[in-house]
Amino acid sequence: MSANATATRPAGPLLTFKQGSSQHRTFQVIGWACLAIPLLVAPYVLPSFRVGQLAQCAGWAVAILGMNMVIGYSGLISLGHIAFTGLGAYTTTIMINESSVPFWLTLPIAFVVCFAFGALVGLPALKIRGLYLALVTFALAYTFPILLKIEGGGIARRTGGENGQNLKHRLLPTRLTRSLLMLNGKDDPSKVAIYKYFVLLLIAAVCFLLMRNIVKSRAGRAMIAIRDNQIGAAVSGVPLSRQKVLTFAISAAFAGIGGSMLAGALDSVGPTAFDANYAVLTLMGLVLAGAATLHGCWIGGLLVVFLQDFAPRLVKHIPFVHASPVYARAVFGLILVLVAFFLPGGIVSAARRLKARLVRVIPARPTASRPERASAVVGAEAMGTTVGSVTSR
Amino acid sequence: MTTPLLEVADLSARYGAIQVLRGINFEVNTGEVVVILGANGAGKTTTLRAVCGMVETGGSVRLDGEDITGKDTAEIVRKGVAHVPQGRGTFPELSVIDNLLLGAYVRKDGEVNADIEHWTTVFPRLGERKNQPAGSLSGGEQQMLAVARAMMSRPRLLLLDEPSLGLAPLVIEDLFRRFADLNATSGTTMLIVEQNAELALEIAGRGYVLEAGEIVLAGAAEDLRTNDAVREAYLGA
Amino acid sequence: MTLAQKLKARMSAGSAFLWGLLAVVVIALIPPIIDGGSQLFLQRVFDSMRNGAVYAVTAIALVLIFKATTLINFAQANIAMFGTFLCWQFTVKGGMPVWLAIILAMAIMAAAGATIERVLVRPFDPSDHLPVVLITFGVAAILEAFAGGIWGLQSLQFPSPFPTKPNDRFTIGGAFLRYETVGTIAVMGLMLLVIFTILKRTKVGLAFRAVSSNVESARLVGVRTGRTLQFGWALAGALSVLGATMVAHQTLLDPAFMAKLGIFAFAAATLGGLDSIGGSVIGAFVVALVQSMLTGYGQQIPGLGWLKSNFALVIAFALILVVLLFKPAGLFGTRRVERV
Repeated sequence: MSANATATRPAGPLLTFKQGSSQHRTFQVIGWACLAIPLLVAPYVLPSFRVGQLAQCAGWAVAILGMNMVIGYSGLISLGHIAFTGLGAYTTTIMINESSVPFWLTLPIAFVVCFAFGALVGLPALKIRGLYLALVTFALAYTFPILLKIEGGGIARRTGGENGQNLKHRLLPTRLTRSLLMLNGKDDPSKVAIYKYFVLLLIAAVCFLLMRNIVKSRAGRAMIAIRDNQIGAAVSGVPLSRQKVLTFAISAAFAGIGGSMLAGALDSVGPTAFDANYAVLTLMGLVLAGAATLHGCWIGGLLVVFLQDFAPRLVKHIPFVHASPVYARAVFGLILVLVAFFLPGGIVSAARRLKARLVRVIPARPTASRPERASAVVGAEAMGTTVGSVTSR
Repeated sequence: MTTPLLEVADLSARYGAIQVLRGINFEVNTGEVVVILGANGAGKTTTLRAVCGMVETGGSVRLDGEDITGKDTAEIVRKGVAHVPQGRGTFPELSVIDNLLLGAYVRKDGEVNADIEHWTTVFPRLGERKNQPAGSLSGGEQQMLAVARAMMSRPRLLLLDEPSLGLAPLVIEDLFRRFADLNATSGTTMLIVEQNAELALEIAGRGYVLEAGEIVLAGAAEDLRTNDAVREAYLGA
Repeated sequence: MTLAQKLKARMSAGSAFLWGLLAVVVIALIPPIIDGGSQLFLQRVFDSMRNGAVYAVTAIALVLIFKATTLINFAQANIAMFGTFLCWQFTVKGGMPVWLAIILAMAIMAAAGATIERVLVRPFDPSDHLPVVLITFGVAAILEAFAGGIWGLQSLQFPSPFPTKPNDRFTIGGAFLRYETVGTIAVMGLMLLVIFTILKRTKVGLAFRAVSSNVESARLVGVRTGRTLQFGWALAGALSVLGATMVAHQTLLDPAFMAKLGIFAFAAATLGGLDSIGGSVIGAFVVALVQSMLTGYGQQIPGLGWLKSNFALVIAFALILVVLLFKPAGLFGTRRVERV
């Protein structure tokens, strides 16, 4: 019996590009256009409340951007970043309501406030191991809404306690922006929604760009080096303590901006928007979308808002069972378990693998080391200091 | 010709992407003391770990004819293999007695206490420190504890990973003398991997030399001891 | 080793600071305590004992799993909660005697714990922490959803295993000590006894201690580490249900009732030492006592009067922070808990 004379070859990639060639560039442009065009067109075609949801997605995307910095890039499991998101949101709200600070100015203020608190949380984080850190930060997430309701010291009065607070001055378009965004004519809520969406989209884009630069910088590579091989990183001159605290601080700041954005999107804040449930939800969004990737963050933002929206309805439509919306949370739990088993890299990694099968890019030159997998190449000269403060053994 | 107690054929092992063993062959017959010599990084520890199923392996490992390649460590141990790992592997928070009891974990007979008596007599210092945490013992005492623990399971095959590491010369001499005694009195088959060739070859019947994951030399212990290359590399002559 | 030597060996600067802080708190409390009188003091102590037992019981389950695996089971509280709901179902709807229902619920959740370990935790490398977080949070969410779905979201009344009529109490020094409290503490004590007996005198307990101490060596002596860990998870599941049923009468039964206690249990374990069972029990009573004292007398201590309500949780959290800053391993934990 003869063996198969011609074994079938696996299908090769559909498209092949030489890196840097004009076809490659065209392909990339088309790719980005596929992303950008819906982003720009959507608010004009979707009903206003969906636009509002998209605005929230922008806020959550930035919040998750912060979380991703610790969990994805640094390998430190912080489940408490939702507290920083809440802190940013409340900071913005209080600044607007008490001191009439314009919205855009509250952003850097929230950034600084959350940076400071992030550093504060980062300090004890130096001394504790992986899951213990997760537990401690989760305690933070759990405690935060309660801290908001403390009656002493006038805290509850300022935060609005149980019921939260509304923004006294909402985000409203100016004459210039109206014409830019084609919002002229009679004023109605849908126009405001569109305006808000674009404002928040812009802020989100800026944040993503910032994060991308941070990750590619030396500090970013040091962070990833710590995640992949802590001892190797230390030996290469990365000052572990300082780096970790810095990571916490910056990630908290980003999470805080996300919160400020959410306050702008919702025109109100309340303790239930930033509690332990949302801590788990944002975690779910991040890992399902893809931790340690930038794309994962905006996909995560979409997931947080829309899964919450659709899960209760999905659950009602399960044949025979017609479960009550209460079971929506079971969907989230199931997602968490399934992601852990089957999709640890999230949607982004699955998409990348699919893309790799369909498209091949031939490199023009040997590629430099990829930031996502930096071995401890960060030398002492890169960090500029000596290994003085390595964590105690 | 009886089946060797341990027969290893074309054994390869890797840690992730790093190939440590490149297809080695050796055997240990019942009652023998066999030594595997090698420098740091040659793959000695990996060899023992491969036998015990603690690393990804290729090739075959047979215990008394039975194929145990890549089986679960606990299952291999239950078949009568005792492994004294590098660094002793004691349970530092548990008492000496508890460590010994754990050695007998797989046994179902009633003679465990008698054995504890026996070993605390053979190693009197263990008896003195019966209830102290194992972590408070000196290096040499911990090594003895590790050996006693291994013997508590009444193994058919005793694997010793660099037993001399970190011990003072006098202690090492004493230790190896005891190994020889052990083999003589209880007939326990031993496979010792060592850097310290001198003493190991003295008590062994046969030996192998492992270099960069490959067996480069094999023969009677006597022959290895007088072999120039071996002397130069491992005996500091 | 003599006591002095033992103390010297254990006491580090951080530890000394913690004890010092505790001493300062105690001293600051003395004037208001004397002011309030012995009866009030005793009452506050007794009230705290009930909380202490509750925190202790929850902390033990947390510590058991951490000790053996350095893993934290974020689903522990909800496993206990679900078991309590089952128990309610058996006794209130099924007519079973309370104690029998409790035992049955314990058995079921022990099986659940064992299943979770086998199916959801064992496939993963324990040094990779994120999957464990995802899995345990996932299980917690699923349990919470099902509890809410099956039994509804309003709080249910849970029958206490102890006599709970208003007069069921001792009167000591003018203060009331309820039978319930004594009963809870007794059960907790029994639980501890059972745990320590299992650990010190049984083969499986020895295996468990071996796995906690050195998992690789445990395999080398033939311990089936997977099964041993499974046993640990099952035991933790059963014990946490037992603890929850002790509490459920006092705080109404709803899907979030054990999660609320989680922070306090965690504070207890942090203070006492995340890998010390005895330590976390002591930590639990200390946390409860400090809360009771500060909540009760706090207004009279200069500087603290402004933290009027929600004191308890804030104190717990502050405690956690303080311990972590100065001695992450807690008062009785080993340094293994700290970051290496």
